[in-house]
Amino acid sequence: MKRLAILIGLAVCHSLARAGEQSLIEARYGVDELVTISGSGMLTIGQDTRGRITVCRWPGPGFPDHLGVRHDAGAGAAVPNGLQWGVGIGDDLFWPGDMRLEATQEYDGLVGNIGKTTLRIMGTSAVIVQLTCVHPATGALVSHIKIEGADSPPSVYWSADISPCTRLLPGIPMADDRLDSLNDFAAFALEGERRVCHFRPSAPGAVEWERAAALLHLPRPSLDQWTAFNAGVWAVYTSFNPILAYACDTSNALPRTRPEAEGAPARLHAVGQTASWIRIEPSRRDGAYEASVVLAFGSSYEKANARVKATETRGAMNLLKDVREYWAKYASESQIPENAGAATALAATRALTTLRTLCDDSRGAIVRSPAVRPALARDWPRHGAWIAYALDLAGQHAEAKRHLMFYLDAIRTERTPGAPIGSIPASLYGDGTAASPDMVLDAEGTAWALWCIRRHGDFLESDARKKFFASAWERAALAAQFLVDWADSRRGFPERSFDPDLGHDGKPPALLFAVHQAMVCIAEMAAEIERPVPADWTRRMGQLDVLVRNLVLDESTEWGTDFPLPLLLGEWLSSKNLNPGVRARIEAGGDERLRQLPSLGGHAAARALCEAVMLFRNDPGRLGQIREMLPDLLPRSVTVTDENGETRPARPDALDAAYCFVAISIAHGD
Amino acid sequence: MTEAVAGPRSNRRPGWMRRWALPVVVAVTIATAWGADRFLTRSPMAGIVPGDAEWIAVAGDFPAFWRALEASDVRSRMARAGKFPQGEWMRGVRDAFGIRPTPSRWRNWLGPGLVCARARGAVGISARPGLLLRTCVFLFAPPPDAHGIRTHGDWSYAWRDGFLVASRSPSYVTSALRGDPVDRPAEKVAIDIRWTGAPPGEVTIRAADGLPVRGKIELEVPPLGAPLTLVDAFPVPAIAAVYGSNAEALAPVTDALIAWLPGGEFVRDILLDTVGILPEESLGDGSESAFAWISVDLAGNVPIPEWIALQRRTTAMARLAPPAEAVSFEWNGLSGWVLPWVGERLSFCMAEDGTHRYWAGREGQMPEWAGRLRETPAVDGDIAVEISWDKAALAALQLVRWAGARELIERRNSEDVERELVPRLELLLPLGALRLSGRSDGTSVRFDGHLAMNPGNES
Repeated sequence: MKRLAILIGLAVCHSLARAGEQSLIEARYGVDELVTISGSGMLTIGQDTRGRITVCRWPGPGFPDHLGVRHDAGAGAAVPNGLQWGVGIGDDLFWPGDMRLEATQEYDGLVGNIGKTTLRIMGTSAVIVQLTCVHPATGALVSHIKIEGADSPPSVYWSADISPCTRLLPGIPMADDRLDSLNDFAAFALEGERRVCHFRPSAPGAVEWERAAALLHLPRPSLDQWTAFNAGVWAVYTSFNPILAYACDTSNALPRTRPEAEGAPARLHAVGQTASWIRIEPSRRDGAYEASVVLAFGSSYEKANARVKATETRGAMNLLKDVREYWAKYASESQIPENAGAATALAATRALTTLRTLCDDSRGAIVRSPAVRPALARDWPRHGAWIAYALDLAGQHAEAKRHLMFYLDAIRTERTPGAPIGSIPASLYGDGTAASPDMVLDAEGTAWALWCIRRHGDFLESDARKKFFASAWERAALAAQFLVDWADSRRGFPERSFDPDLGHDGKPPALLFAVHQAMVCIAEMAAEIERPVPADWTRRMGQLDVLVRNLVLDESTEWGTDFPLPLLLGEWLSSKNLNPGVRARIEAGGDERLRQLPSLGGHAAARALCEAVMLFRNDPGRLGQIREMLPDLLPRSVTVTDENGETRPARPDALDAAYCFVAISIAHGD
Repeated sequence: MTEAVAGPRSNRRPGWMRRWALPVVVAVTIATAWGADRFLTRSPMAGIVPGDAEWIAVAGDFPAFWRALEASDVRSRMARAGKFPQGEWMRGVRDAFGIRPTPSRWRNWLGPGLVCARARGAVGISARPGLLLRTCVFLFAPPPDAHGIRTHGDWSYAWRDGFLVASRSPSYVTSALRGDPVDRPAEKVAIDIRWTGAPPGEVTIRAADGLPVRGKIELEVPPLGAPLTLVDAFPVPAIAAVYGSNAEALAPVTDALIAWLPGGEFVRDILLDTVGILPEESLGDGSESAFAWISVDLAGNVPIPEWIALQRRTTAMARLAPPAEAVSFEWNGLSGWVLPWVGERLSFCMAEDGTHRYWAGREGQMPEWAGRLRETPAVDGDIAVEISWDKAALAALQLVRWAGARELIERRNSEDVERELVPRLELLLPLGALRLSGRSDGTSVRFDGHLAMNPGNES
């Protein structure tokens, strides 16, 4: 009960955490240092600064993480052991977290999402290079290690602290991290088949746990005895090299020295909070030692093993080649601005790769990040509008459409307390389940969804546009009616709804702009497909227009300093004939933002870039200024500077990637 | 007439001796055994516990406590409701040791005194058994290991100074062997419980009607200086209620709860962040305040606790200026406002009449709450706590079923919840109400009351 109370508190607070800023949760529970991510729309992984795979989401990026974590006694922060390589040289055994290793983590090559880790053993000439990615065709994780400059033949280990999670908790997006002790079930090795399996059946109860514990007393339970449990989440891994030893245990303590690892007794099965490692015989080629592993998930052993088998015939090098070819093809099919310089084009490609990696193939959700801390593996409609818009600008219309259909399906058709018909949950899991507590009502998110549905039409031919609008109309009309009804009856301002900048409900100006633009969009959609617009919608549009005009004309509003510029301010401005004085005042606010741009970094830089291009998209002069700043600004939007002044790579984030891509695309003339 | 002839002198014992020899031997044996048993079980100490025990429960005469409990109205209420709390652990003891426990058997095997404690996550017991158990151990027990610890099933046990220490955790036994003796309390039909956590405290529970309790807890609650006038004044039934002086003064109580909750500091940060949206003077005002937890709202995807609260002052309070984002309201003729926090189910609602401020966590509660205070007699004390066990049990049943369906209970699914947890929680249903009131001396609170007061006996 105590744990439950804390959990619910955390769930509420998690939903209240300010987007893009370090929230209370991040300050207390830490932040995942993800540097590279890789995925296939199904399995999605992330690697930290030292090359450890610290997040592993399946069956898509919007589903639970299946890696174990250990909670630091003091602050309560959870540190994943994750999936990692170990290398024994002499009597020493090096795991990536070893401070005797100098680590760099980056993407391999200019295109694609293969994570490359370079680990130098200080004081020696030995260099360890890891290449890790998810193979798009099979959805299997492939990791290859190469050891060069070792004085003596090294031994190689692969450690897996897998903690399968079978629940997706509505409204509580922390099932995989804070509830790790409730995950996991059993791990076992099949020596004959050269497989190690971790699994958890769905909703195991005392009976299942007792059955599994009984298997511990058998020296070698058969595969059938393990697969007799219900389907759930299964992870199966193997190596392309000979496997010399297996260890499955309920302790996640790794061997610290090579003699300890080589002298460890074989342990072929464990039940509870399990972890496993294998010792692999590396192959020798051109003086270097190499080994590979492949890991796949499935709802049953057969399904996971089929994915592993599908990779075995290809070999690691061919699998990596497949991945490079897949991403090169994806980039070539996307509309990257041709006149952008190499650095800008590279940033655009990287942003697009991030977006694609975070697309969930099952339903079309696109999560912010696979990160566990904070829980960003969710799709926020208020952010997803920009992601869909970026995909449309890149020519990836099919993906954009799937994403929008995902939102249309999420529009509520039944009322529950705090969740009116026509609203959309503030955030969603990959299967469309609400990931935020119901009382977090994000009217702005609903407005953004309507805006991007309308904008998607701009990228379609007339017939396709009409067909799309017609298919979206029924749900879109529900959303529009919600926005019409969700109004302060006295002043007409949109009724209070959740504001991530405040951390609670509020009425920010951005909400007014978003609702106004959403109503304009729904009216345009109605006109396009010749649907009647109800009188209360027309009345509401007039009311909103007056409110926006009053806000814009209000001389006390300090544009650009009062609050982040409403991203749709530019859209509104371009549709109105305004007094030149008013326009100049607003543009002065935008210019102030432009001057601030070079001092910004990370998320703030990405958002400010997008704000600026949206405000000045019809102003060739200022767009030119922004264009010149891009090569300098874009690299800074993917780095963050900590309180010690040290710069490190920012966590890959779909929203920042979308902001950057929109900025590049518009600045270079979409 | 025939003279009686004296026969040969008989070497047989006199008849009385023949008749009484066996009973006397048996009686002497029994008396000796009884005396030995009394001698062996006699001690001013009840048992030994690890030095770092988190809590200790001590019974001076556990079988007597047990008998008195069986005779109390709590037991009869449970019996009427068809609830038998001891059934499960009796089965456990029987499975482990082959003997169904009863008060007499407990006394014969383990003696009257009993200490139960928890240290480093393990629970163990200590007692001073009599002749019976010692003889069985002497005759049948396996030899001890190098540390003097023996095992029986999954239990480990050892002896020190005539005391038995037993636990399922061998490390508990090891640390208890190096631990401290615990005094035997004077009261026979009571259990003393003391704990070292923040804040430390102690309580004595007597086995009598309504389970009377008294105790002390180290909390710096400022004395109220006048009787409590709000006890039971809520017009709606509450799961739990706390009555005391103003909310700021009750901060030590809140801190104690926070220390008890894992991750409580984080929750406090969040709450302070949240309460920060309220006017600063909100919490300090009022000479007396009351807080009630009403129910759990499970209509959404996350359970939301529903609450109401009251501040009272004998002299007029200044009107509480509404925060900028508040919306003015009126309930039952009282003016007030709603400060939305997150959605309609999480907000702060306030109505005031000059000497009272009525608070609620959602607007829907205000019509039946604002201005509808019940007149109740004053209660002597500085702080009072009430829990209605049947409502608490129903709320807990809702929550465990909700949690079980979401795999939120370790190694238990919905079926296990229904089979194991639901019957345990249902035991609370006939318990009536917990009612405690306390008097503060500034550094600690001495309290008394009942753990399970029969609602029919309430005055």
